[in-house]
Amino acid sequence: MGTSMGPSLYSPIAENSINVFILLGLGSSVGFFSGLCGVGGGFLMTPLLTMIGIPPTIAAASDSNQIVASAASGTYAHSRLGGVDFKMGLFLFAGGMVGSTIGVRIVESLKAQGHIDFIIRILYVVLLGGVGAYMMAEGVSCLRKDAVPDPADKSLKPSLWDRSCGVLPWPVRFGKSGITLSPILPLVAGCLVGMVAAILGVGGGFIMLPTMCYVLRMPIRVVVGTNLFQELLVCTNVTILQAAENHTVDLVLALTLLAGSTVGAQFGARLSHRINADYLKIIFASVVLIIMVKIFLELVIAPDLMLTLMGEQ
Amino acid sequence: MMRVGSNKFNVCLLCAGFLFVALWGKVLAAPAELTVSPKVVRIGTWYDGVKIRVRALIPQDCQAVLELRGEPAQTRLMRKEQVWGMWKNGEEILEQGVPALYLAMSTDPKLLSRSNKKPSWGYEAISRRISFTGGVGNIAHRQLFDEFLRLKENRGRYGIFPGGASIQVLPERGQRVEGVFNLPSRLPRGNYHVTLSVVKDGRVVSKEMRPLKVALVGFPAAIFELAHKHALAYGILAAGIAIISGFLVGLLFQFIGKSDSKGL
Repeated sequence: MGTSMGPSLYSPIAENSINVFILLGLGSSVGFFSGLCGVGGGFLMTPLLTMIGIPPTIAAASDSNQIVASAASGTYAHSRLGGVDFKMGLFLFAGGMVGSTIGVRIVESLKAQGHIDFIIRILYVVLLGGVGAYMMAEGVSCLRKDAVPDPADKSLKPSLWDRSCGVLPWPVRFGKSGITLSPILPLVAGCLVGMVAAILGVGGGFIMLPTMCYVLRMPIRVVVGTNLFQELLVCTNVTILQAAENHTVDLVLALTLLAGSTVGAQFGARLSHRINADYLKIIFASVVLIIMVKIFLELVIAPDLMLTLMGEQ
Repeated sequence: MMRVGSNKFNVCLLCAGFLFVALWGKVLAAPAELTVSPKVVRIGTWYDGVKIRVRALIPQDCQAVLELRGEPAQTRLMRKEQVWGMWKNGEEILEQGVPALYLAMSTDPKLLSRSNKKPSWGYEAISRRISFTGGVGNIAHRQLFDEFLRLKENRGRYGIFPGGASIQVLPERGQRVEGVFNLPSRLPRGNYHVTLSVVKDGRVVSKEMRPLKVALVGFPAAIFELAHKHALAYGILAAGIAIISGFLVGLLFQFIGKSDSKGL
């Protein structure tokens, strides 16, 4: 039952009522973070919604729906500031479609074996821990050196990775990013990220951002907006599929969340263009590590309830 | 004359006997009055759980047990198990035979206590009806049942309130019983019923039952209908609303940004 702190909204798909202020607060906070760091926030919002009593399947699908709004709002804000590489976004999306289809098949296979939630949690801990620790170390190290090395900085001596990428065929100029790259790379990167994102049930921004920075060598000024653009496309697709096949999209829940997230995303996007990129990395890494620790603790601490309802796990 | 008088006396005695037995029987089997309010729970946009008020009139020297239960349903459960120091869900366990929702209260706390070994109500009665199949392994039925109760109570779907119903003696009209059931916000739609059991000297002397319907109405009902009957259109609508909302907020903030810069 909702608290007496304010009105509660009944969400008919989740079959539960939730305090409006809690939903608006969650939406605006995650939206702010989404606009600031250029991630959809699915890896944040889904566990938070689960904590307030929404079944995970409905939380994930409805969250995809609200990410569409915050990503649209964020894409618009970043595109006005010249921070979206639409061509790169479309290549990443194309790869992501293939990857997410493969990922869904992997999920079905793991589900049949009955270990999906356990494997997902371990994957989360490993991925979030790796990405978070790496970005935190780099952000802190850059701040200490008081230097801001841009991954796409051409003045630096090309690394082995850069030289290997240069060998790939059909180089295409990505004007907004200021890089020339074979489309094979964003397609493969999009595919891999899409696959992991489908297994974890998130938009994949927290994996896509480091991939754009360190694999595709995109400058950080377009990374945030471009990721939001590809998340807009991916999550639109996921929302329609989830609604049509699983009936797990709750429009009431999504509308309330997006009322907060679209506004929060605007403030976040504005701040992201004023804040030092290394601080952005440290903020992002901190949130990622906090979520990782929470999931790790859930794995090792004895649960209060030994039984769970199927579909709530 | 004496014989006639004796016969009259016998007839009077017989009539008095019949009257006594009839009246006593009426007291024992007196149909208790039971009212439930509201009779239909309408789950609308602002639904956040509801209080179901139950009132009953029962004979003198009786106690009452009030139960609110849903239809029996199968529940698919998973039990946590530890592997390499980490907790994971084990094999699926299927539970069946008991209602999806069960709330009970009594006027006398003893009636719902677990020391009551042969009750027709409460958790002891449910434990006799429930069955667990599937990945049960060698877990004891009692242990599994206790874990099931903890889960159900955590979700607000099971609850026992010994002495939770009030009882008041009315002059010449028996006793008035009142109780309030708090239905959770996470409430499945469907048919429920409220049962009143009138108890005298440990025996149930009468039972009354009233139906209670839980239905979606208004906006939640429309959304539920659309999501299940026109799922693809619903998905496109949901994505479309989100895209438009996002861009509208973007435009709004562009306008606000321009106003701010002009102001500066």
